[in-house]
Amino acid sequence: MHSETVAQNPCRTFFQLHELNQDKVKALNEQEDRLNWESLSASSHSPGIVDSGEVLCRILFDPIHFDPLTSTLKPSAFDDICNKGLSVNRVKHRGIAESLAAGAAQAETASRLRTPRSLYGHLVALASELRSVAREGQRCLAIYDTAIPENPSHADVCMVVPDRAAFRSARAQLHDKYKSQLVPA
Amino acid sequence: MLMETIAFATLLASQKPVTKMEGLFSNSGINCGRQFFETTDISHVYTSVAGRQGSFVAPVLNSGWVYDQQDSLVSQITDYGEVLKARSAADGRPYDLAQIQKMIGAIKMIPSGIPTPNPMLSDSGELGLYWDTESAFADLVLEASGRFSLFIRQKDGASKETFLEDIDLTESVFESLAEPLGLLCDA
Repeated sequence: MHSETVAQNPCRTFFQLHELNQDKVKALNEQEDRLNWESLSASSHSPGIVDSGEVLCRILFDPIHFDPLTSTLKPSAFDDICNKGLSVNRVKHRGIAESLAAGAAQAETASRLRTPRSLYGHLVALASELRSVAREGQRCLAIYDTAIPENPSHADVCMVVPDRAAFRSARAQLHDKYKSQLVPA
Repeated sequence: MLMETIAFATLLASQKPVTKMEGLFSNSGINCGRQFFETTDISHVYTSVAGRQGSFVAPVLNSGWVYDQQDSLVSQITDYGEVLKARSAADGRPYDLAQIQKMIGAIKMIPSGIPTPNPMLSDSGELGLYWDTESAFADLVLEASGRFSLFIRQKDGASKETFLEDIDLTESVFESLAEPLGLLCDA
């Protein structure tokens, strides 16, 4: 566990303040040091910052992320990179089976409280691959260890370029890279 | 509706596509057509899979049934409208029927020389269409403002990108987008 205090760690202060903010990426992009914050832990519940060699698991839901008619991944599977942060689990801290079980429970809750949603499956990505997504030589994505008490493996992938064209480019690149790597539950 | 759509999509997958050329792009040198699926069995199969008398009505061309993928797309956008309406009832987020109508209007304006796109709905309720062909990726998004934005990324080595925003979509605008949208046509 890291020993930085909140006062020494603006990254943690930011993510605590914006924990429930559904548009926190916008606020993140107002922070000058946002890229450097990847080297600071964002949560006191985290096992540590996200290493570039780590494998990350993204849980996918139908109908937002997956199209059952064409059996393809939708670009909207990655929309959260520009609003609340794209939730992923760090596989070395939570196995894929456990992530899928949590995803199924999440889908059930969402279906009960909001609108029908079902678990489709998952995809995995290397942290280094996500960090290499760039547009016009500028890095687009950063990964923060936004662990929560019930899921210490939780991390957020966020846009670090406050630009709609960059978002669309990053989303298209992610879609192209991972569309053939879907793993059904 | 979902089961019916799946059954119908399965049926379509087994049909031989018939490529037609028509519409606004006929003089623009763009050489790809919307796919139509021609069959004489749609009504029968649709009814038997859905398990009830079919209410499906398809246009007729010559002696066969023809189902335009655009109709399926409009149907999916309409279904998204139901999702947004239910979501609004659940959490109070505003639901704007005009956005659904606007997107359907946009679909109907897509020149027939352009491949039929796929629909998408973001978690935040934003409606979009996307194309993913051998030559390029593109998405057309209806922003909260009621205006559209279009992104295109070529799949050649240079990965050239085009981004246009604040578009008030009309048929004439689509015509002016002939060149970038033409990238969606596979060689």
